[in-house]
Amino acid sequence: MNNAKRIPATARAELGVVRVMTAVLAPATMLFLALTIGSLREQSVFVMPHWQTTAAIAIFGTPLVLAAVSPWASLRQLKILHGTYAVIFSSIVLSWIPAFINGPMPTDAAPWTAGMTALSTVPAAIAWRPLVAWLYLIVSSLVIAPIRIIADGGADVSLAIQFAVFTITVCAAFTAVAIVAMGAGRKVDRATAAARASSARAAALTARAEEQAHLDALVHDEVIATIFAAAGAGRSDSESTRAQATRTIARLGQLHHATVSVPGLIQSDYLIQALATSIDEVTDAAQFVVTGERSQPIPSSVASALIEATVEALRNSVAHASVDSSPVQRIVALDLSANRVEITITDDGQGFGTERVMADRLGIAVSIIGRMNSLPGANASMWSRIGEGTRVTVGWQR
Amino acid sequence: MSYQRSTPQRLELPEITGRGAHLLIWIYYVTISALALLALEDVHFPVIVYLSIGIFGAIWFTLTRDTRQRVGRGVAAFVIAASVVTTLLSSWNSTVGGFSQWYVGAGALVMFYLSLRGRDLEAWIGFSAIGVAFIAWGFTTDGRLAESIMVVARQAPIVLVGSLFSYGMSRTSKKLDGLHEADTARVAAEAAALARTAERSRRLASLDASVGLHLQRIADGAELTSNDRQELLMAEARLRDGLRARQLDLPEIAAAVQRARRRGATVLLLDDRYPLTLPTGALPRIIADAVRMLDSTADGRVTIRLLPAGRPLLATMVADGEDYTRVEIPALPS
Repeated sequence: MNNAKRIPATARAELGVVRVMTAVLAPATMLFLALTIGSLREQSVFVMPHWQTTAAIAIFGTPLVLAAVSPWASLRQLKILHGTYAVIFSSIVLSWIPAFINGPMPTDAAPWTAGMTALSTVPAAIAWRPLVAWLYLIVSSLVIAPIRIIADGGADVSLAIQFAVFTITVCAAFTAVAIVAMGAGRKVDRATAAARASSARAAALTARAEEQAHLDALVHDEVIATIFAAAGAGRSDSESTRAQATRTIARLGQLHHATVSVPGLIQSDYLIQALATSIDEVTDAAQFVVTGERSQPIPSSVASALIEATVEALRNSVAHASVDSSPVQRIVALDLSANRVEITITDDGQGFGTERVMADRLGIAVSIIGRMNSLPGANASMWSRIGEGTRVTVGWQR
Repeated sequence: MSYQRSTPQRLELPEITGRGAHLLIWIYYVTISALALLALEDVHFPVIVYLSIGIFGAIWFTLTRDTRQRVGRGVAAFVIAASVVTTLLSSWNSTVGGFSQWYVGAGALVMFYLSLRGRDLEAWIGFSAIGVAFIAWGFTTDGRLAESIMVVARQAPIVLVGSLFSYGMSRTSKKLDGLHEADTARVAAEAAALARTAERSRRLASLDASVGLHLQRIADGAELTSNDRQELLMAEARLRDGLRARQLDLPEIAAAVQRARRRGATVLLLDDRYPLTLPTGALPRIIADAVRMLDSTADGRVTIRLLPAGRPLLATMVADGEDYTRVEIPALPS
């Protein structure tokens, strides 16, 4: 079976890494602020009024806000916030050019915004793809050269260029660490999801085997014994046979109503894992594809019905779709969204015409469709044509 | 119920000892060395700069040769000592600030790398030693003490970032381990419960469909005709088939078995393969052959058996009546 997209990662480790980097960014920024206070005082005469204050608040204040919201923000929100900070930082660095007045500055001084580029390149590495982050780093570092040249009136062009190159190499170390750490987080998330799926599968297989053994014993000791007593021994009218049948019906009824401690609601990642396990048990030659996401839980009764219907449809396909053992492609596609869960079971086998269909196949189709349609919010449909395959769709909407 | 325990991957950064990291390190080394050489006019003796560049080459070489996730103690000691020696050698050599004091920043970056490589304490010891050495030089100068303090302070964020990052990553890793344990137990318990419910619901529905009415009639004490008894025996045999041959419990085969039994044949279905599933594409052929054999048997005995995995044959079907027929389905596609 295709494992490409079957295991959803929860991105917990990646989120943890981003939160660590967000938390580190805040004290680093404060340290830069402490080191820059002298420059802020000295350079206030070289920029337009209020630019300095606005720039300092944005550059040194935003990482504090990021650190404050980080424990509650999602990964996506944090990435957006880091990306926004990188853009704000660059805008401030560039806005220094029109804000610059009373130049040139002394040659031993440089605009304070040009000395802390790493504060923006790390957030860029958190927010964007590595290629974009590296491009951002190079451009942000190179732009320092013209800014320094403008600042000192071109007194030391060589030093300005040297400083830009130096900035690239130093910032590269932090960008590389950020990119590597994010990658490590994603790797851990994938491995964790795979391990969890494997544990779930093992637990499901064991539980199913135990339940089968239990039910086998019940069928053998109670149901068969009762029927045999009634038919084989011809004692249907005896009190003991009637009592045995009543006991058996009661036992089956108890089992039917007995609640296995299934939670009322389950997360969609569990539906994916349970579906993958069930598909594996029917055939190892079906492709399982998951698209979309869903954060809202699903009633376990619905999940159970969807899985049962999928297994039924797949078993039907395994039994009928192939002509002369020719290979048949089977795809189980699970589509998740905020208000809908839909599973489509498709094969490219021999198919069948609804006007001339074997009773068994129609029976299965009716049982799948009937069972699903009886669930509130659920639906099922079936399409098949001779030579073109079969498609069964089961879904639930909320 | 026992769950399969799984160990999650640890949150580590093996890439920081990989080729990509080494490439970045050497690019940095070449750049900083070039900048140091461009600032030769700001030093008293160029030979000290050459020597310092050589020492830093040795530092990075030693660090990149040790590819363990945690740098060895000896390597860390060498790196710290070499960085401090370079600072002591070079600090008095520069005539002005700027890139002629490159070795302080280079030392801080070495300490940053040390802290990422599991030597946090050593990184701070190293940086403090560099700082003390450099500020000590500042004391010996006329008016450059403040400059020396500022140069050291400007590098402190680099080591601080490395240190906080390493601490945060290790803490997050431990937290994730705990969460993973709890999550795995929860997911496994839910999976087991749902699988149990699904199996129970499927089997009870199937039982209800096949014998529900019969059981109710028996319980009600209804008079059973010989036809009813025949049906009960059919249902009983079907239940036994389900227990003995789980993978042959398919509607087409069940219907054909029923037809054969009604004609007086004795049918035995066996699945010695379960719980291993049948290979891809095998089932349609088994169904077709089984149905054909069952439908062509008037009386006598039919045995359809799925063999244990690993045998040359996947299934055998034997009809032993007026004629003897044996069908063998090979394990490998013919």
